[in-house]
Amino acid sequence: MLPNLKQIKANLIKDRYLYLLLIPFLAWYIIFAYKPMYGLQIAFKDFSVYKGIAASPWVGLENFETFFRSPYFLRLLKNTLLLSLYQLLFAFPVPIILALLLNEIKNGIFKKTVQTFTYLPHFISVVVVAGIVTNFLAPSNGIINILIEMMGGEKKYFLTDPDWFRTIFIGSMDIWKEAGFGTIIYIAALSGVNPALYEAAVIDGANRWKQTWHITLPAIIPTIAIMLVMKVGSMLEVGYEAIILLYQPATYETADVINTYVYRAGLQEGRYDLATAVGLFNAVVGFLLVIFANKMSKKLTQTGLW
Amino acid sequence: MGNKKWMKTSALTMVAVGMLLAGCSGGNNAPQNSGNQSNASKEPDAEQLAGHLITKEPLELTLHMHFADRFIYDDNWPIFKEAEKMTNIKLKGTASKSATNSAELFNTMMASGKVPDLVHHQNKEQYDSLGMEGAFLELDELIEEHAPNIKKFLSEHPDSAKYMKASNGKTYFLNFTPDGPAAKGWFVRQDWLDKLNLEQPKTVDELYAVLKAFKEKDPNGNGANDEVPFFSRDKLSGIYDLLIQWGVQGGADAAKRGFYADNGVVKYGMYEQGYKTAIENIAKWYKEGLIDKEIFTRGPKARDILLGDNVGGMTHDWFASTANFNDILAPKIAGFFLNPIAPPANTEGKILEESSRKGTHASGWGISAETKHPVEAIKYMDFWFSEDGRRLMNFGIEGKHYDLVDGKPKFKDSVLKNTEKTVIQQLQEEGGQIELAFHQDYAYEEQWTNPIALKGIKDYVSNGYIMEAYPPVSYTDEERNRFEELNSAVLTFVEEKLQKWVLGAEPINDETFSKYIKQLEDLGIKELLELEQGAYDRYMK
Repeated sequence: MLPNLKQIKANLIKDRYLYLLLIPFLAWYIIFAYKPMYGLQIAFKDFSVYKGIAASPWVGLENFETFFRSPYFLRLLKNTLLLSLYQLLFAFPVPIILALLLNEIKNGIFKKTVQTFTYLPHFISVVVVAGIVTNFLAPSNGIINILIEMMGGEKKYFLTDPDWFRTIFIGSMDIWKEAGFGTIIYIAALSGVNPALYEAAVIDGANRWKQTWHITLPAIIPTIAIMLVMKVGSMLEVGYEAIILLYQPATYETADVINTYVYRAGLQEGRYDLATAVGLFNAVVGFLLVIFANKMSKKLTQTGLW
Repeated sequence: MGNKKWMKTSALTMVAVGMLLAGCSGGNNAPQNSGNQSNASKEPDAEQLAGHLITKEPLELTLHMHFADRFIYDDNWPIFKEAEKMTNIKLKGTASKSATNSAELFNTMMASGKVPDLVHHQNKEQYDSLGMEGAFLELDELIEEHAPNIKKFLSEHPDSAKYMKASNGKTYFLNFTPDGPAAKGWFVRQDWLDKLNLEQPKTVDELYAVLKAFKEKDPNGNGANDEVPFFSRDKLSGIYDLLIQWGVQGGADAAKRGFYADNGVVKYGMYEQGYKTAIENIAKWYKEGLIDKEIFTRGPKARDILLGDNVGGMTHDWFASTANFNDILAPKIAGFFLNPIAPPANTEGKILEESSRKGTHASGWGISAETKHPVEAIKYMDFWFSEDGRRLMNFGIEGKHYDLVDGKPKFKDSVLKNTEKTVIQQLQEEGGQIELAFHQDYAYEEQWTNPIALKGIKDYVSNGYIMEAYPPVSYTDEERNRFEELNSAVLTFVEEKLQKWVLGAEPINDETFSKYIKQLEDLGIKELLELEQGAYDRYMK
């Protein structure tokens, strides 16, 4: 069944320009994705920048042990996974819903305005967003607490309360900041739905809700599935820079994740070996989760990354 | 060629200027200079070289300098050009001017295998461990033979000499030595005290009374209970700085939180019994609103906001910058006077200020093992420890930045009264006050420090309030990894508990405190103290 060499050669010559176009992408993968894998070995080495990757001595699993035997390891893992899970549950559907809502708006100017306003926060740096959050939630004169007091409630020091951390973090960093930007891909998918389907549905007497349920949603399910699989792959990589800006020792209980702990332990600067070990651990867990998610996705929606 | 001619003339000028300068300093400070010369004349190759000249022919050395993510060596810095005239050594910077991450750039440079003659770094520990691997030269012998000024400095400053050694007892790295006595002090709104007819607090109980009065008696007179009696612009140090008031030591140093030496025994402040009393009281103060309710999130702008709004009453902060608020706010708030006061005596009756300015700094430089010019390099490093080099680095160029008045450098008015840039900015833009190995001279800062701050500093220094700082010990690689592992576990727990207790989220009593002590032991506090004791003993030897 294998095509013979001659045929391959003929194909190569025939489509040479297409193959030429492919080269930059292959090169990108080789240079930036495959070649750096050589450096992964430093996760098992006592790495010194001076000695270089090859000459640094092997230490087996010591770097992993240092990280696993931390008394906080279980708490860190739990916090990381929970934060990711809540991100999936609460933040992931928001752009989809927003895109569906925007899709129903017929007034062009209003639609564009809402879209612009919702995706603008994406361009604000996390440092600034953290500052805004801190000010809004300030216990003495933050706007949220002023509103709570006006409505007869009691002021609260939100940022030192572990029970509130996940809500604040996901609400500000994932929903407010990113939801609008996330809609772009879904809106693009929605614009590809064949209008004839809606016309047919209207003739059959389907109302707006039924149109959404039976036409719009199925049309973007493949996009949703792929976005979900990709999201699951980076589950352990919660945005730790933003956490560092928002957490407090008082909220470590729920806020401290693997990457913030490694950062705090002063291990990132110059300790590439340990950072690589942690990164490798995250990548392996992410890889397993992607395989699982992809299987699920194929079973349920007949679409997947591969 | 025009180029050659230029070189000749400039070489001649350099020699002339060098001799001139040598003559000058000889007149001003005879004993020291003659010391230099007699030392220099022992060198066979230095016989005919006048003044600070290191080589007969101009020599170019390469330098990697990129620190604090924004200071990059610039070949055009006038202060280094001045040094070039005196020494005949020209430095050529190799660090990329577009890079913005100093630590990363250093690692990339080391990994590339192309290490320039001189290497500046902001992390002594990493430098030392690379030195022990053979990347950098051992400087001890070079200093002994070729660097009389460094030698003199080290023998006069044994603490610096100790600090500069790596854990194997050898020196690879010469570090920047800051100067100046005091760091933080207590500041209180004197006009509020006067208005409420209160004395400056002399004890913890009086401090409590003053803060209470600030809270309840409306000293800013706006009718609202909006005063914030004690505040801090440091989210964590704000509370740690208070611990000493109940005799708990070790809290003030953010880099080495908790550790202090008690007659040669290393202890951990937050592992002592006294810590319970301290936290109980602080939690009570917090509950009563004497401590800023937002202390854990207010952050670096706290002073600007709370003093500017006329609601902040008292803080513990750096002298110079805090005293400056008197100038800034005097036109806006009638009678505003933020006065530095002596620390209130603690519960043991002692008047103590735990913060102090560090006599050592982790920034500095050393010589690459691959250099072809180790002797010239160490001599060049030595130049910055000579009287002329030190003055050049501290005050800039004579006639441009300062004039000599009675033999002492005094900044020109054009520098002092520049409204756009601070003195330090003006110097750093031209290559002065750069954190290479030199001995800072506090006189440079004194000239533009607010008189209120100077008065406070003098008070703290002359009365001996400032405690001796915990020494900057060094670890072997193995010790350091273990230290970081244990310390981050302990500190995570300590800070989590500290905040919860202060916020009132968890009660503090005998039962919870003994549980806390037990948990610290489970986290390895004993091993941590043992490890630290070893490093401390090695340092003190």
